[in-house]
Amino acid sequence: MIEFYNVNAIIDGKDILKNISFRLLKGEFAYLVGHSGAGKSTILRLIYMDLMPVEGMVIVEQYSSAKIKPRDIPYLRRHVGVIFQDFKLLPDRNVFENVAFAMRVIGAKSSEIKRKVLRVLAEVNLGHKRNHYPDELSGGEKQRVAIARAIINNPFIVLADEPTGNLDTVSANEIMEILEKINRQGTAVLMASHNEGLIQKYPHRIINLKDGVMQKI
Amino acid sequence: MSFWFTLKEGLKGFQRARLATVITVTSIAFALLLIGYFAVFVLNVDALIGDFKSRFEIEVFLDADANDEIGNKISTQIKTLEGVAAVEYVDKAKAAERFENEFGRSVYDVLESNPLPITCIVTLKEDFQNTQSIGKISDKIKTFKYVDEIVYQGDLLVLIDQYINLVYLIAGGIGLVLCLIAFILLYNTIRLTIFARSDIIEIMKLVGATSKFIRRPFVVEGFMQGFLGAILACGLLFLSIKLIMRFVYPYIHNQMEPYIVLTIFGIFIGFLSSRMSVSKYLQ
Repeated sequence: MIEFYNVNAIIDGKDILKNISFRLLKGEFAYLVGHSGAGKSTILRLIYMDLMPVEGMVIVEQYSSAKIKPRDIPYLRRHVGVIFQDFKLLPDRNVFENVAFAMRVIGAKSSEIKRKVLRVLAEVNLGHKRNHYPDELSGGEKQRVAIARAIINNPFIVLADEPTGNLDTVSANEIMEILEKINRQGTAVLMASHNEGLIQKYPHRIINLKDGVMQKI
Repeated sequence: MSFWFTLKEGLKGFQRARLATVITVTSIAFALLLIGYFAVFVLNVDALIGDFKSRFEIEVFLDADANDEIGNKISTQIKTLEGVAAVEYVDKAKAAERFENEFGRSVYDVLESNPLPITCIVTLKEDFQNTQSIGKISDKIKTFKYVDEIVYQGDLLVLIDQYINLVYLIAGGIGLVLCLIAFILLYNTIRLTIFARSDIIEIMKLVGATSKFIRRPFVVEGFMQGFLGAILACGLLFLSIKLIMRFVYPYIHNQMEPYIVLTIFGIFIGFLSSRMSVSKYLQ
């Protein structure tokens, strides 16, 4: 489903990833661990093809980095949900509109948007805050909105880049519970994290990176 | 669905970046106003030249022994020439009348008989009001029997013909430079507003919006900004010209054309510059 074959990546002339190869199966949950600058976020960017490898190949379902055309990248991203440490919510839209936005940009119908957004907000326990704006929410709630937006179009994988990095322990656990639930429903999760406590509490496969090189555990 | 979303997003852009919108619309308006003044100036110079040319006449004097029958025949002959708009036939009596009107004394007070020749005053069609055509027509008239002399104010016409193309070329060049300045100004202003909204573009890209889809609301916004800028420019142009006509120079030709051109151009540069800015940003 996701395959990395001897991938090398360079950003601003610096070697970020060196000869990375791994495979992530359908419905799998895996952590990307390593210190800052190890290349965790770069792996995620390579999956949603915000960055292309200079050597090697990344395969995401039917899309290959070697063959994909720039105009096809948006269609790949519709099958990949992404969440970030800084949430990336639109401050001038309420919770409902932030989530609905992901459906509107792919041309979904209003009736479908309303039905699905309310269902997904209920899944992340935010139905009661659908009219609130991001600045009226706690960090954990913002991240739950970001998760709702990431899963609204039924992606086969959710990529989470340090999703608990800005959160307290209680909120971080809430986010992990939601990601676990999403994973149990069949969606794969690849999560970059520093948080050893969470990794131990919610154990899954670990892909360990050090200075852009995969480490054996 | 996506049409309404695009339209709504485009209009929302106005609300989200109010200050940037005001700056953009004002920039467009002032750039267009400058173009508008220039267009009005050029149109007025053109109208003055046209006016001068339309009053241009060729006077054809016939021999002293030509009678009315011959005069009328020649007048009809001249009328058939290509480029001739009208011929005014002035017989000897009418010529004497004109003499009296111009000099205040009858020709018979000075002389015993009327020596003034029969004259045909020829006006030309617009396309033939140039030195080359006048030369050709005058050469043809000269070949007619009984034509004694042909007189026209050629010097000024030669001067106009000699420099008019240069004047229009310079005017066109200045106009082009002004349009280019307006475009660059708008392109950069819109780019700034796009940079200010990079968050929404990033999220759109992240959730799988195509470049075409991302571009559309910005183009709608650019289109609207161009339109509003043009309306503001037209209003200011109209008002200032009315004021100039009232207090400084009342003879300005205040035609509709510059206003129509400004509106179309405003919309066009709004559309084009926003499209180009957002495309470049997406690259």
